[in-house]
Amino acid sequence: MICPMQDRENAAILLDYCDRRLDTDLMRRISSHVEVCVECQNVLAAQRQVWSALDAWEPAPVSTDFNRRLYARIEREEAAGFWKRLFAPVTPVLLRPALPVAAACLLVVGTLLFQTPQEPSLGKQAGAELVDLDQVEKALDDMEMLRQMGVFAGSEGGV
Amino acid sequence: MAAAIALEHDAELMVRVREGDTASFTQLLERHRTSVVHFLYRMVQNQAVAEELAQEVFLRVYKSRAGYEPSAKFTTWLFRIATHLALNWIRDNKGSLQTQSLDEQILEGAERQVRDRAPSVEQKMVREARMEEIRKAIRLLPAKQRAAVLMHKYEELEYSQIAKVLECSESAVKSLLFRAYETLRARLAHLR
Ligand SMILES: [Zn+2]
Repeated sequence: MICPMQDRENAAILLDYCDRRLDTDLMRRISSHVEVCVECQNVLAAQRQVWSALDAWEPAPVSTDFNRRLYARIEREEAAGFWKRLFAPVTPVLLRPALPVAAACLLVVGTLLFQTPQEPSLGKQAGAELVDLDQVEKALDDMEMLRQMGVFAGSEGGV
Repeated sequence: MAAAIALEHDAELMVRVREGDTASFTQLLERHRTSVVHFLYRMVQNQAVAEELAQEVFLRVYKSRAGYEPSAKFTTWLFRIATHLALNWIRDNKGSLQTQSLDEQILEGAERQVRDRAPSVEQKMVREARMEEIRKAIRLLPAKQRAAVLMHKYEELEYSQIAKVLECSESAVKSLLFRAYETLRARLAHLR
């Protein structure tokens, strides 16, 4: 057989041989070649060394509160999704970026009209609404990114 | 064969998530959390960033559940999202590679060694220097080569899966991997 090192297109076969990922026949053929090819012997020895070095690299364990943080984040995002679903059927696509701005203006006007000294918490509520509306915008961006990645049914290039 | 059964199980779980079964999402999370975090850690070499990106990966999986179709391996999809996020992060943080400080890593490594069998200070230092060389060798690879090596070596993804993740042909993946390992062989040849 032609030495895999002389054929760059085919050189990765040595990785598969080293990792025993080939069928018996191919393993046997490469084995016979390696016995007489010093270059392949050197590559294989160095490759085994690389893999053994990489085996020693053990990352730290995952934080114990990983799931809790994720679920909290999902909850927040789902709440943002509720707002998106609420506005989506009645809002033309081109107007969607303007939605948070319009809603924010409404809230500011509402706050000015109804705020009295006896209601100090209203400002806080308006702030919370604004955060949600920002999230609406972010959620729309996320959906667009996922669409581009083709993960949705019926989209092109899905994996 | 075992891999095929595992694949079917993941896809089945994801279909259940699509149908509103959140317990199946927890199962998927349990099955893949560690490998996703570890893959991302080896990509960006910072534990906090890796976990943050992993959160984003699972969040996106959950958010796209309604449109999920089991047309490809779940892990291919999962690692496509993870790789996409890691490559973006690396691109955005070029020049200020936020790897963990050597001190932190020495501490981490030392803690692990104490658990192992309490080696001598000298052994610890030798081992840590060796680990730093390995991390650096990976860190210096171009980001796509790095992703390919990590998916190939640690996640044992098939060439066809890596090709789908990196959006290239299988032969391109093979040549990418061979070049990456060639560089690693040169950089790590002195380690025994
Ligand atoms: Zn040869």
